[in-house]
Amino acid sequence: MLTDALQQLVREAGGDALLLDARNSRGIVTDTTRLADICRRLANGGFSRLVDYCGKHEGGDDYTLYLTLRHPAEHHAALTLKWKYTAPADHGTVGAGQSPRPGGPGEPEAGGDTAPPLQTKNGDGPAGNSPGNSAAANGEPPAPTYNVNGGAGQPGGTPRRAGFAAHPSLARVWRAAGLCEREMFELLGIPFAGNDDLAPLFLEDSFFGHPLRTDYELHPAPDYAAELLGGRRSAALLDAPIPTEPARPGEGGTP
Amino acid sequence: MTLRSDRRLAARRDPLLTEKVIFAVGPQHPSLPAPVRLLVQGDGELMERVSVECGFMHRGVERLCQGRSYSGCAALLSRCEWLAGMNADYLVSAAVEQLAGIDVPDHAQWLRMAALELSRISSHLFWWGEFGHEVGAITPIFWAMRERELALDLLEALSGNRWHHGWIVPGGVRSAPPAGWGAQLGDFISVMHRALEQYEEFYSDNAIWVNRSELIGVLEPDYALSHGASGPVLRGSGIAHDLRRDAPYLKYADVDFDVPAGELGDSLDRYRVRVAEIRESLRILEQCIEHINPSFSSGDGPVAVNSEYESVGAGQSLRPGGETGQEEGGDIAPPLLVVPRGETYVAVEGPRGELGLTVVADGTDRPARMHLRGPSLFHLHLLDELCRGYLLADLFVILGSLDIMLGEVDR
Repeated sequence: MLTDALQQLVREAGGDALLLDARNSRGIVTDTTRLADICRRLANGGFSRLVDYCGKHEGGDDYTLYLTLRHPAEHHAALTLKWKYTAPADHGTVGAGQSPRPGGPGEPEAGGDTAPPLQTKNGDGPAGNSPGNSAAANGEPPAPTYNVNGGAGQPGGTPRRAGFAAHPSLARVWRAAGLCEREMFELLGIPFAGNDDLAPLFLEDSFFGHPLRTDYELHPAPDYAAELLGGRRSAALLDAPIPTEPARPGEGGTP
Repeated sequence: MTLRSDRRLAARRDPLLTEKVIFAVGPQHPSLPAPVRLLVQGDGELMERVSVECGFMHRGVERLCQGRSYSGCAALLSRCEWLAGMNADYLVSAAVEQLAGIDVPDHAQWLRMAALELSRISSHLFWWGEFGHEVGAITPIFWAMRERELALDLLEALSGNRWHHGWIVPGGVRSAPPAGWGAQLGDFISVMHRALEQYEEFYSDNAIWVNRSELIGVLEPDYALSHGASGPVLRGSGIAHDLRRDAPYLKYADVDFDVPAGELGDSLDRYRVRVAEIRESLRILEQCIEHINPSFSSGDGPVAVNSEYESVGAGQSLRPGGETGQEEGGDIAPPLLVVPRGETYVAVEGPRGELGLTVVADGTDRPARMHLRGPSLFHLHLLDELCRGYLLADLFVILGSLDIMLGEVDR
């Protein structure tokens, strides 16, 4: 439970929705275009310690992100925020505010949690304070876009199109966010604009795809035994009689 | 990289021309806790950069959790924190209890607290023995294992298992402790007090031990805070933050204990903090004993009693529409929990720091998303800053002082 002063700080940083559940110190960032600004305000207000930052893939290009902060000066009081990144309608399989899973966890919740999309490659989203948005609003080159999944024919990959804008990185606000974003980029395929170090963290370099995405297909492990035995299944091999080498002339055995 | 480590590196650099070398340490190395690769760039013997490559034992636990029941997830997550897996069991249970609004009876909370503190002591003992290896002493690991066996005996008496317990379940604990468990716990506490005196007498002021770790691997408090450090690593840098005191769970608000903190943030401070923590854990255990109800016997079944989950027994379903918990033979199998829709973040003060769990429940018996926040992931990536300007021989002392659990990293 946050103190009254901290609750006031959180509300001033991002409105009442930022503290929807004051008892459990949880809130929702409804205006994701102000995300970087809200985070800076919280960090400057004393929430200087990022504890955890993780995401959940909702399908298509939609994600929900969870951020847990602590306030060291107030007995490390915790605040958990979440927000949804919804792909623009003309880029994604679903539009802003639409649910990829009707009735599922991705369904927009009450309280205005239908976040407008971040700026896209073509500049068809509202301008905001994220690095990509501000650049596009000022007529600068568009925000970097990433092809988060690969083409067809790759094991574990799902054919996807390119051209979906990166989420603004929080690594400049909280240093610990950089590591979490690196993990999220690798496992969920969420690109973060402004994070220079998104190198693979856990998976080998040749690994293809992002295993925590809902559209990632798990493939059965290759049958190494069959491969080694020249295509014969191991079960069939067990049933087959054990081949014996014929005895050479003069080495005994039945004549 | 900070200005301070830059200065340290510049001040210690050999004015003579030394050779730039890159040492590859691991992924298999006798001093590494588990497979991890460290690329050390050295100027002669002086470490300039340390790059960490992890993932050698990445098992995709978070992905596996999405298709398993909550009890299955607890079993998987406890494999990520194998030295104190009870913490993972507690995290899953706490998340389910928070989402489902389950109250845990007091005596179960005291039992959980005792088990968690025993896990902390056994984990710290393992670390103490390993750290002794790093600073050049062979005896500590034998002494530590000797006492750790006693702690594992107590945990085995509770759960039937020595490492992966599965004893803390949503609503309480799986079974009451056997008769006489409280007395055994009391004996263990007195043995540990004597053992700690022996440890400290031989090693804490030992010249080699101190010289190998004092002012080695200094971690500044600001850097520790901003880079996600927690637990003894954060406290070693002088920030006395402990979830057990700052955000009390279970019955920690009802017991007296101190939160030890270091001054300089070096490896010796981290060592002293952990040894002091063992003493504080023993203090907590002493206070738990008087609250552990001796009238329970192992035949009483699950110690999970509340209005909603009461009388879970033969042939009964935990919730309408849920699956039965009855197995052949009359034993009660872990029931499949149907957890209401919701999201939560729960955290526990593990032996290595803040172990957190983000759970997204979609109203079924399987989580839609489960994310483990392991302190070791952040601590491992502090190595670059901690090692800059120190000698290559200090690498494993610094690594040992961080108490890395690779299972949390490569989950």
